[in-house]
Amino acid sequence: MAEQGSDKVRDEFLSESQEIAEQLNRDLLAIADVCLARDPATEGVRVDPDLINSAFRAVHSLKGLAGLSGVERMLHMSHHLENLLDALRLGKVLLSPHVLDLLFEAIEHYQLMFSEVADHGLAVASTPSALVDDFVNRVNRAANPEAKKPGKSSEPTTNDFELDPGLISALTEYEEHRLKENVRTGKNLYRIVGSFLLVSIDVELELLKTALKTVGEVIAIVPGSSGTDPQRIDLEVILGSSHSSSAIVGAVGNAPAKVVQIARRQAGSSSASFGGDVGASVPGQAARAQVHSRSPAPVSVSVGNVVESVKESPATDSDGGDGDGGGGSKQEPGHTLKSVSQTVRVDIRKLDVLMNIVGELALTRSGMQVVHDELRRDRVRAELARALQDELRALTRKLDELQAGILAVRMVPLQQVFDKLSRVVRRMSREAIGKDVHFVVSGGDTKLDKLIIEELSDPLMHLIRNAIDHGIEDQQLRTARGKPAAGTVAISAEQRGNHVVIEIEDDGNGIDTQGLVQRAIARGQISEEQARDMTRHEMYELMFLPGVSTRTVADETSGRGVGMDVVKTNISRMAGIIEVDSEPGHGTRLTITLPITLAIIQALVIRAAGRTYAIPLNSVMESLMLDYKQIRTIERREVITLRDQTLPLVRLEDIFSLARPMDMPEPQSGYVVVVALAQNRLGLLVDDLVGQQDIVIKSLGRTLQGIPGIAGATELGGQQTALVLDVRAVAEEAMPRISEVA
Amino acid sequence: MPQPLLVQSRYDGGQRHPTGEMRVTRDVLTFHIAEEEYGIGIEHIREIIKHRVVTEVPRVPSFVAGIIAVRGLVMPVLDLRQRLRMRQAALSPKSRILIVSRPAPNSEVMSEEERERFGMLVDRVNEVVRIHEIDIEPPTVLSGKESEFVEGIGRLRTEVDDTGRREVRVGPGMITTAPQRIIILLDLVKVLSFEVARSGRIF
Repeated sequence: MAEQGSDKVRDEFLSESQEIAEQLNRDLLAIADVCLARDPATEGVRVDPDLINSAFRAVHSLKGLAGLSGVERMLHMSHHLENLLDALRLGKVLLSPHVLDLLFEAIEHYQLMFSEVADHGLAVASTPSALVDDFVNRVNRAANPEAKKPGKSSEPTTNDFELDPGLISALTEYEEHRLKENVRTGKNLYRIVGSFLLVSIDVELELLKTALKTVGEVIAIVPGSSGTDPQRIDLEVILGSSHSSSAIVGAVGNAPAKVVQIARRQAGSSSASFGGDVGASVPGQAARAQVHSRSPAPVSVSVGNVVESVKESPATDSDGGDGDGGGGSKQEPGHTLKSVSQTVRVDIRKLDVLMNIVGELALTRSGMQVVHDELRRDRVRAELARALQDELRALTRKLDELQAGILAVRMVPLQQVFDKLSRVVRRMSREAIGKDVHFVVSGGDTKLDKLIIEELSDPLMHLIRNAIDHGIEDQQLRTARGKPAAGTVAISAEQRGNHVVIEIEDDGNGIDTQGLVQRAIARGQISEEQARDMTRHEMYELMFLPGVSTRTVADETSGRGVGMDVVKTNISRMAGIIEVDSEPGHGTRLTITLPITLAIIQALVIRAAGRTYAIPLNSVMESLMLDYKQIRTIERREVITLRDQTLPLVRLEDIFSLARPMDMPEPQSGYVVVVALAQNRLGLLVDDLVGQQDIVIKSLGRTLQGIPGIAGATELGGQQTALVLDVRAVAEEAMPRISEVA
Repeated sequence: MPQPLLVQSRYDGGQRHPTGEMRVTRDVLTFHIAEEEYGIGIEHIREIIKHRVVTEVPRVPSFVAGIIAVRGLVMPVLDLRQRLRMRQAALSPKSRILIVSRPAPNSEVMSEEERERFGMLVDRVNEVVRIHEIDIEPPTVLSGKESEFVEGIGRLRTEVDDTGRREVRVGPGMITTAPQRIIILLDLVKVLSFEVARSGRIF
C-alpha cells in the first residue's frame, strides 16, 4: 500500500518535473538563438527579459517540486541555479557563453537525477553528489562575479526622465532594473493610467498588457494615485517603448486607460550633476539611494487629454547627491499601496453579502424576463423583445460568472495547508535525532472552503506531528524490524462523492492499544471489565478521550497539552468524521471525512433520458462517441470493446428507473463516459455531453441526502438545477462483482 | 436579501369574542388543491414562488416532485396533491410553490437557518385568514386514513371588525350571508415526515 503510494508520488514528480525541465530547455535554446544571431560580445547580449524570466520560473518550480518531494540534491542545485538566473535578470551578471553553457549543463544534471529517481525512487536523489556539488560551485562563481565597472557615463539614466521618486521606490529590484535597461537603450517611457472595475480587472488588465507588449515592454504595474471609487482600482502601467505616443495610444485602443508620456528632463538640469555614475549597469543600492534622495514632489497627473506630457518643475533638489538620507521612509506610501494592489484580504462575510446581492440580481433578471415575455406577445415590438432577450442572455452569463468568481475566491486548494505541513515535517525530521522521515503529499489541488481550510490546518499539523513523534520509529529499530530506514508519512486528499477525504498514513509503530487502555483505566474513564470486552477499534476510540493521548512530559514537537480529543472536536465542528485504523508494528492510517457542501469541483455535464446530470470529472477517464450498433451483450449485460478490452456499460435510465419522455425516441447513438472504480472501468451510456464546468455541490437537504448514486445537486444557472452523480455508488450498484474486488 | 412577502404570525390573545369569552386566533395561508381549501399557519411559510422547473430525483416516493434551488438553497418539492393521495394534475398558470420550513420539534429552539426548507406544489394560493381556535374541530370527524395529515377543520365565522360592523369574510369582497367556509388545516410536521431509501455508506 505505502509502496504503491510512493510509486504514484514518484511518477507524478517525474512527469511534472520533466515537463518543467523541457520548458527550461526550450527557454535556454531560445536564449542561445538570440546570442548566436548577435555574435556574443564581451559585454554580454541583450535577451528578451521574458525568456530569462521564464527560465527563472522554471528553475523556481523545479526547486519547489524538489522541496516538496524531498529530493535534496535537486533542491540544492535548483536553489543555486535560481540565484544565478536571478542575477542574470537583474543584470548583475551578463549573459556570456560561459553562463549559457552552465545553464545547459544544468539540464543534463536534471535529466541524470530524473533517471536515477525513475530507477531507484525518490530517496536516491536525496543524498549529495560530488558531481552536482562541483557544478553548484561553478554556478556560484558565475553568479557572484567580482565587482563590475560602472557603466559609461554617456549613457542616459533614469534621472533624465521626469520620474516620480515615489514611483521608483515602489518598484521591485527587478522592475527597477528593467526600467534602467529601457532607459539605457534609449527607449521612451510611458505611463498608462487606467481605472479598472474590481470585477473585471483580471481580464481587462491582461488584455491591456497583451496589447502593450506589441509596442514595448511592460516594465511594471503600480497602483495609481487616486482611489475614491471603492468599485475600482486605479493602476499605472510603466511601459518602455521605442514607438511614438500615438502608436501606444493605438495599442491601448478602447481599454479604459490613458497614455501619458514621461518627459525627458532638459539637459543641464541639476540632475545631471550626479547622473553620471547612476549607470544602468550599476544596479542595486547605490543607484536606488540616489534616486530616493531626489525631490519627493510627486508627478501630478491631471488626466484630461489622452496624451500629455508631464512636466515636473525640474531641479527641486535640496540635498544634491547625498545618497543615504533615509529615502525609504518618505516613500512609505508607495510600498503599502503596492502590496494592496497585489492581494486583498477580505472578510469572508463580505463575500456572503456579495453573494446575496448576486441572488437578488438574479431575481431582478427574472423580473425583466417577465417584461420581455410580455413584450414579445406584442407583434409590433417583437424586434425590441428580441433585442432585450439578447441583453438578458448576456446579463445571465455575467451573473453566473460573477457568482462563480465570488465562490472561487472562497475556495482554496489544500496544497496551502500541505505546504505548511511539509515545512514542519522537514524541520521535525532535522530536529528528531535518529529519525528520517519521508513526507509524501498528493491531492493538494482538492479545493475546500477557506473557512474549513483554516480550521483544518491545526488538527492536521497535530496529526502529522503525532505520526512522526509516536508513529515513526528511530532508524535503528526500523532497520531491526526490516523496514526501510526512512519512515514515510503520507497525506492525501481526494474528493469522494459529496465529501473530501483526507488520509494520513504512516508506516511506523502502529497504535499502542494496551497503553491507551491502561491510561483510560488509570484516569477512571473505563473500567477494567469494559476494557476486557473491547474490540480493537473501540480501543482506538479511547485515543479521543480527553487526557488519554496527552503526554505527561511535553517535548519539543508534540504533546503540548493538546490531545486527540481537541483534534476530534475541531473536526466534528466542521461536520467531519475522523476514523482510525492501525496495524501494530506496521503503521497507522487516519481518515478524515469532511463535507463538501461548499467545495467546487470540475464536472462533466451530461444528458440522459431527457435529464441533466453532472459527473465529477475526477472520476471520468474519458468520453467517446458511440454508435449503438457496436454494443454487444455478454450474459445479457451490455458491453463494448474499447482498445481490445471489454468495457461493461450501464444506462442511467436503468439504474435510476427513468422513463424516457414520450416525444424522445430511443437514440441510435450517444456517448460513453468511461469512469474508473479501483482497477475496473465502467462505461456510462448517455445521450449527450453538454460540457465541462466548475460546479458547487450542494446537499439535497436532510430529508433527501443519502440517496444511493446521488452525491448532491448543483445550480447550472437560469434557475436550473442538476443532480451530481456519485459515480462510485452507481458503479458499485451496477457491478456488484467489481465492488467486491475493489 | 429580499424579505419574504408574508408577515409574522400574530397570536392576539387579548381580543374579545362576541360571546364574551377570551379567545385565541391563528393566521392561516389558504390554498386550493382539487377544489378543497387547505390552510397552513403562516408562521411556517417563508415565501411563495411561481412554478419553476423541478429537477426530478430518482429513488424517492412519487409525491416528491424533485428539487429546486431558491436563493442558493436546494430543497425538495412535494406535490401536495399526491402527498394527500390525490391524483396528479397538470400545472396551470396559477400553480405555486409554497416554501415552508419544517416546524421545530417541541421544546426545541431552532434558528430559522437550522430549519429544513421544503417546497410544496399547490394548485392555487388564496389568501391569509384569521381563524378562531374555538372554531377548529379536531380531525376525528374524518375517517382514519383521510385524517392522517389533518390537524383540524377550521370554520370561518361572523367577525366583528374595529368599527363594530358584522361581516362574514369569504374570499375577496364581503357578503353578509354566505355558506360557511371550511378550511382543512394541515399538520405540517406529518406532511413533511417521510423516508427515502438510503445507502448504508457514509459517502
